Amino acid sequence: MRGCAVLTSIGYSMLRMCLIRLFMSGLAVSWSAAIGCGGRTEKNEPPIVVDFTESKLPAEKSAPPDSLKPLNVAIAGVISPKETFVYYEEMIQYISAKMGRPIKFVQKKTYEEVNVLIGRNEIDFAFVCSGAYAEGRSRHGMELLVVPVIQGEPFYQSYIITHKTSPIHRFEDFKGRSFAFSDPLSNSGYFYAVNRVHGLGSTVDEFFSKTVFTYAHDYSIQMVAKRIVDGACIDGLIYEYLKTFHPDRIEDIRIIGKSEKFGIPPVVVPWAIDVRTKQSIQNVLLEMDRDPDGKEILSKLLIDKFQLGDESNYASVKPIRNR
Amino acid sequence: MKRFSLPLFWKFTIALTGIVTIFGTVNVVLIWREVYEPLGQELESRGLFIARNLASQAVAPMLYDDVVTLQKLIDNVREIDSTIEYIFILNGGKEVTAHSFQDAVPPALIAANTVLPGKETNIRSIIPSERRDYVIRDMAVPILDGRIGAVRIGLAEKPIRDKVQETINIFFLMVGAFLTIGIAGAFVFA
Repeated sequence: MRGCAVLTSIGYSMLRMCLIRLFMSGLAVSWSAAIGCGGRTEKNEPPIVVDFTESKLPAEKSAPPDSLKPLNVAIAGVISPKETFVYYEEMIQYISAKMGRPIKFVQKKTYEEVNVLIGRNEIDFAFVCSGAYAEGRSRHGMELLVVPVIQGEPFYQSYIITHKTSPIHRFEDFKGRSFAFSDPLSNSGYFYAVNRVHGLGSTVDEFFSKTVFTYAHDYSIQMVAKRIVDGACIDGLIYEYLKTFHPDRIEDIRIIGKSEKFGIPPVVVPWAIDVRTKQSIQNVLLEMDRDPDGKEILSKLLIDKFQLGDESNYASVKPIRNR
Repeated sequence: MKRFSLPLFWKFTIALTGIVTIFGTVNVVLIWREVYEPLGQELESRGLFIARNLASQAVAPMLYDDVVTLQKLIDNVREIDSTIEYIFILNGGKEVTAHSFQDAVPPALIAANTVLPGKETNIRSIIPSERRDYVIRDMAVPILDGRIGAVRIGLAEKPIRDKVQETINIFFLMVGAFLTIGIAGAFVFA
């Protein structure tokens, strides 16, 4: 009996010890799991208390003096809006710094919209396409300010392109095929191809099975590269720019023809612009290649320099009437 | 000296209650970390996906100054996701171009979050002053590397807090049930 009681007592003590150990080890394991798991670092920044009922608009800023009023520069969408912004951003910042005035970047989807803004004198200067200039110089009252010189000349060409594996080798082979134009006022992206079709004694609707407007030369290239259309006519300057800086974007296309040389897309001002403003924008652009910073920006855009424009260079640009 | 001795039933009851309380507390912490954090991360991933998508689609309308298209983009996103508290788009000058608020965007909210140069995003927690228990995760994503503006989107944490609370409630129910069974067992076997 006594031995039995001793054994019971020993067993009870062992059971108690085991329970305490189990409890302690379980607690330790769980606590370390709670501390160590989960993993994500907590954000150190405290929450911000915001009054959502406060919705007053900030006070209107007073109008800046005339000398600090931003100049408005319009860029016709030769390339996609994002590419256009990236392409022109540094040049616009440079002009702004040189003139000591902020410049507001105005982009429009179509050349016509830019022409209308120039006609309304809502723009101080604009980078337009040769076709838009030829069409709008008298209608919207625009004047040549300067022109870029690329590879030693103020001229450019329209390129007719197709997919590199396409059986098309001549412009005439596009009969019954689909074709992409860039803009209804684009010389290289519309006028040239339409004039070629007219030269063949046909019309666009009769000649092509389907046509689309892409509103940017790089979109036209993309559509040909992806075989969405059989061909397109594009600005040769854009092609050369892509060939230099983004060769992968033109690797699937083939040039099947080039146009004669046309006057290069110019920088224009509205007729009604203040003479002093016109003069200072012109001076900054004309002197850009003589300034190291300006030269660097120009070289990134493959532009040699800016020079005064010659109206006669645009005589061969033939807008399509009665579209 | 007479040694104070508790009846076996009470010993079992106190031990069980202690163990269950300690393990329960530890497990609540674990549940919070293991459920709340991943759900929070998922909320952020979803918010950033929407904001980046919107930032990409907003480039052309921002450059064309096409506020109608920007507003349509915001309205469409809100229509398909009701957990979005707000969305607004700021231009390069930190002015609101389009937004989802009834009236105007609270000025303090505009200033509450910004994407630092060189960063791809920034996330801050926002607490409305009139509702301190409500947390919104505000995500800021730059448009065209921040050169032309930023998208801001606010997602409420409430759905994930509700989900975590639901899990904890189930856990407490289970703990209570086990404790009752344990005490009943102690009563029977003591």
